[in-house]
Amino acid sequence: MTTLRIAFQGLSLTGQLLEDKAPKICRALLDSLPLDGSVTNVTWSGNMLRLWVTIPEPGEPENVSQLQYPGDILFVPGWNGLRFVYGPAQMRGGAGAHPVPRIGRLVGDLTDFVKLAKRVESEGAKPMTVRHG
Amino acid sequence: MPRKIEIELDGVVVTARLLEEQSPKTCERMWAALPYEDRVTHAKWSGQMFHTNTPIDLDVPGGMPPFDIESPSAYQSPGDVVYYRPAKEYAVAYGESRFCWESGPLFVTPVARIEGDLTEFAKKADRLVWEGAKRFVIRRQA
Repeated sequence: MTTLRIAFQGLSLTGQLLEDKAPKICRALLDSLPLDGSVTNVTWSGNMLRLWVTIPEPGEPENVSQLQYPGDILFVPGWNGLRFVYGPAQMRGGAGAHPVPRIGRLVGDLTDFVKLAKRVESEGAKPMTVRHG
Repeated sequence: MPRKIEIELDGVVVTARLLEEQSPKTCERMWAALPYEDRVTHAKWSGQMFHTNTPIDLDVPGGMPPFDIESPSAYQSPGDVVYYRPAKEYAVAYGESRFCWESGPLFVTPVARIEGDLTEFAKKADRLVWEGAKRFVIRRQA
C-alpha cells in the first residue's frame, strides 16, 4: 500500500492511499507529488481542512461516500485540492450534502493533528506539504 | 424611526436596520446590550457567514429549540444578522449561506439587515477563512 508523508505544523503524518478503491485519483495524486500549499478550514462541511493545490482531474469519481470520518483524505471533483477530516464532518455545499471520493486515510494517533487542525479556524491558513511516504 | 446599528469588521463599517417589528423581544435586548465587541471567525458549516465566539446572553425567554425561537427563520440572505439563542451568538451572512451545525440547518432569530453596498464588507468577511479571527463590533448608530 502506497503511503504519503504529510507535514503540518511540525507534525509528520502518515497517509495510506486507497489505490484499490480509487486507482485513477490516487494515480493523479501520486503524479502530482510533492504538493506544497496552504490549508484552510472548509466553510460548509464542518471539521475538515482543505489543502489548496491543483491535481489534474482524473475524469470520474471513484469510491464515493456520503459519510466522512476523522482521518479521511478526500478529493472533490470539480473543486480540486485535498480534504483532511479531523472531526465531525459531512461534505456539503450550497445545494446540500453530496458524495465525495475517499482516496486515503491518515493512520496512527491523530490527537495532536486534531488539536492543531482545530486552531486553523481562529488562526487562519497554515502550510502543508504532501510527499511520497 | 427604526433603530439602526453600525457593524464593524476589521475596520470596515456598515449600517444595519434592527428588525424590531419582526423580532421585537430579541431586538430590544440586543439594543440594550450594545455595544458588543468580540473576535469573530468564519463559519465551518454555514457557507458565507461568520459568527461571534463570546456568548452574549440576551435573556430571551423560550423553550427548547426549534420551538419558542422568536421569529424562527431557517434561511438567510446576504446582509442578514441573526441571533442563535442556544449558543448565545450572532452570525452575519455575507453571501450564499444557511445557518447550520453538524446536525443540519437550525432556526435562528433575524435581528438586523445590513443596508447599502455589501461589497467591501463581504471581501473582508471572506478573508476570515485565510486570516483567522478578526475584531468585530456592534454599536448603536450615533
